[in-house]
Amino acid sequence: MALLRKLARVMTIYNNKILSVSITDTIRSIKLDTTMLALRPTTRLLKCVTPRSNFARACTTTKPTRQHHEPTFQIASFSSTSFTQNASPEESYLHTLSSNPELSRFDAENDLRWIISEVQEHAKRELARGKLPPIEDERVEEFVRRRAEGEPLQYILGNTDFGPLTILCKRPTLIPRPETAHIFTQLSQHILSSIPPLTSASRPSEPLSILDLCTGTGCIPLLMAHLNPLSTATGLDNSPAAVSLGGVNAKKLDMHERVDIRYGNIFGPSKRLITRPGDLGGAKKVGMVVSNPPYIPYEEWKDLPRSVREYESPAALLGDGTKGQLGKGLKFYERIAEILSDLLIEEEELAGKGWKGIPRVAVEVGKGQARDVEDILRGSNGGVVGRTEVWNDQFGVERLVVGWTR
Amino acid sequence: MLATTRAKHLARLSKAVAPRHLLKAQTIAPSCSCGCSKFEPGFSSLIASRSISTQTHTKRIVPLLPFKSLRRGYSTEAEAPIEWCTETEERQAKLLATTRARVEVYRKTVSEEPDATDVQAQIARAKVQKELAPLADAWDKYQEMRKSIVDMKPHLEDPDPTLREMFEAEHSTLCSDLDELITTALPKLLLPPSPTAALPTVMSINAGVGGIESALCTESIARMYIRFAEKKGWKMEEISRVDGTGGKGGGGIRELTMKFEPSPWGGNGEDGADEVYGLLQWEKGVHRVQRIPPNETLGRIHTSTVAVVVLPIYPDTEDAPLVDPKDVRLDVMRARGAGGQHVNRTESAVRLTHIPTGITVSMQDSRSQHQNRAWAWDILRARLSEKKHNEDVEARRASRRSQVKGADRSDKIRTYNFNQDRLTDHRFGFSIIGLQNILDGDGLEDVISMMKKDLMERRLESLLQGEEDIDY
Repeated sequence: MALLRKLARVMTIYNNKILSVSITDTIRSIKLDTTMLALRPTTRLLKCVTPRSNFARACTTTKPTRQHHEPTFQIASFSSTSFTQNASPEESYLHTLSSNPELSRFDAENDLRWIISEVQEHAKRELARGKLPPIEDERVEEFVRRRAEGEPLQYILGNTDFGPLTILCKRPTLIPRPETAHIFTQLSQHILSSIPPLTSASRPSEPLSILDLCTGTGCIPLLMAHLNPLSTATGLDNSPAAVSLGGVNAKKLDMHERVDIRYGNIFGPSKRLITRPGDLGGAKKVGMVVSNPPYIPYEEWKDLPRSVREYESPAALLGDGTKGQLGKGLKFYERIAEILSDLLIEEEELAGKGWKGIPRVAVEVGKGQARDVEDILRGSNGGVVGRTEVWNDQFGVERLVVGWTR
Repeated sequence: MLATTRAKHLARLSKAVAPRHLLKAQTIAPSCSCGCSKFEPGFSSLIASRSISTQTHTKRIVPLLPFKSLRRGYSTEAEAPIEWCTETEERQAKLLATTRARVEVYRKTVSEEPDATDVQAQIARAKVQKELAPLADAWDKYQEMRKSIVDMKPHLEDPDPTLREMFEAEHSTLCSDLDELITTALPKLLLPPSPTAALPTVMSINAGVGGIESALCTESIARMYIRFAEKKGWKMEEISRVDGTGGKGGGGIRELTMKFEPSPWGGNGEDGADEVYGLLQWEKGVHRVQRIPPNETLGRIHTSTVAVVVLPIYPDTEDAPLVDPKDVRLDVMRARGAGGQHVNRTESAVRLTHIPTGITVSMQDSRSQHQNRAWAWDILRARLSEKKHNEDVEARRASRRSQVKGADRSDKIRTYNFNQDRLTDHRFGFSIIGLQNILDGDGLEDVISMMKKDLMERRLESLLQGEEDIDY
């Protein structure tokens, strides 16, 4: 390591690899991990297979130059200890991950790959902003540890995909599920295919307003508004954490003008749900109500995997409200059926706006609840829903109850 | 004064043009290269024909059918009395000869009395006429220009200086017009750019034999293409990537699949900004790397291989759909118990199966299933389009009378020898020194242009011999 006493200047950091090193003094070779980095004093550009984190550890910033977004580092000192050989770190990460009973070897490999690439992306973004990123190995180590303890990957990495959208996730708001994305994409396609073509005289004259109850991250209204440009959506949740996260999501996807995420408690007065605070026009009824309410009975919740039970808010999962309450998890559906007539505009009015014959209500249900929920919706005293259908998700499980007015 | 210029001219003839080349020019172009009746055997051309006559006698090529008629009326002694109007014209002799051969074919088909009953022949005739008519027009234009240049020659010696100046000016404009016609218009008509050249391309680079070293080489090669694409200003998307086993990002790459698209904004003003497949098509094959690996402690030279697959993506247009979505089955990898709020898994793998061909594509690289699906579709389209292309080529090949001289598809195409700082291409048999420059993506341009040139030559040659355009 005596050779490494001298300074080298890292010129370009690209694609997580140091691509070029211009030599200020003699450095012949650096042994890193399993690969030898051969430097000839005359070579200006050389291929270098250095894990950048090792460099980062050994680097101290001088002046972060803003030019071309390429920060300049000077290697202050190398200690031979920072280059000691590890027996394949990936193997040890995978070993750590295997302590999480929810992960198979296949899952663990994928999770690790995503963790590493996310950490690298993050480091790249930081570098582009002229900041020194945290040491990657330590970050990966921390993420792997958290994942091994059972924390969902979506919380660790801070986002998840939801159909074509990327939705930010934050503990303890419910993580959007792929089934939800699939089934609501189908719903949106169904709506778009059942309206008259946009060239006809009876085309929609006003946007369809959609109300999502128990919205969480805001994923459903954002997806519906994304897939159907002729719609506006409102998402309601009674958790302040969810409301603020939903707002951030809407802003991040640049849809905050069409999608409004705000506080609302469906067990409170129904009129308040459809009144915008500060809006003098009073309550505005909507064309369609959708929801993915909590639907898991307490008995089932007790046996759920750790990642769900201990990390996601019970309030977003328990269909009977609080812990310990016994029931079939249908309380939210009953309440939705009860207030439905207060929320929806008349079918004639909706048809006048060009949205004739679309579903008026659609709720996601848990496995085995579809028939009960159909009965609840149809049998409600308001008598709004006349016809219902049950739609399957991509895995063939009954997932969505769709209702039309009589 | 005159004698010296003639000597120069002669020297140029014998030096600049390879003997094999001359031989060809002679057999097929026995008269003035333009085909005009004007025939002025100058002193230089007489000597030139004599100096190479020994070769002509020993290795005479039997002229092909279309040219037979040309020979009529000329004695063999009077062969190759070519007097070039400009230097460019001289350099492009082969191109001109080929054009001339093609035009002869055209003339012959036009003048032929079609047999009204033979529908196949009629169709073939119509096809030839349609294909070659623009070329024949250009050729006529070339003849005309050439004739006026030749006619003007005597006037250049005009005693009146003012007149002479005028003629000289006129002569030089005509010459430059002629050059332009030869260098731009004719090649374009004779060798139209391949319709596949501008297609977006999927490139997959896989480590072959050689363990970690092979993965490291794969990384170098991948970097070479990435930098090349950057230089061209292409749009690049990484579709999947499997890192090597060395760990911590230092183990190279086992597999990398990328998608290159022509630059949406016209590139960096570089040549070939919209010629993605056109430039990358020769990269397909096994690349061999010989070097002392960075992780070799005993200083031995290792040989490892990297396999490169290049697939063009044919556009999936409305009128010629590559794939009917109904023929494709989408599988998401695993069913998941109760699903919904009950579980929280991060599976995003998808598998597409194209039922008619049985092609399956699995993609699990991204955390987003949506993205995986889009990529899987891209790859499925690329594979189907390759299949379609191969079928097209096969069909054309079957209808061809002579053996195809397509690009060599043998496995090992290239060697990168680090110790000798040398790149050798085995298909074309050339070596280039300066490996680092090539691996940085800058020198790759030269390598590709060599192959491009070679292809051009082979296409010319095949046309010259009256065959159809070759495949590549």
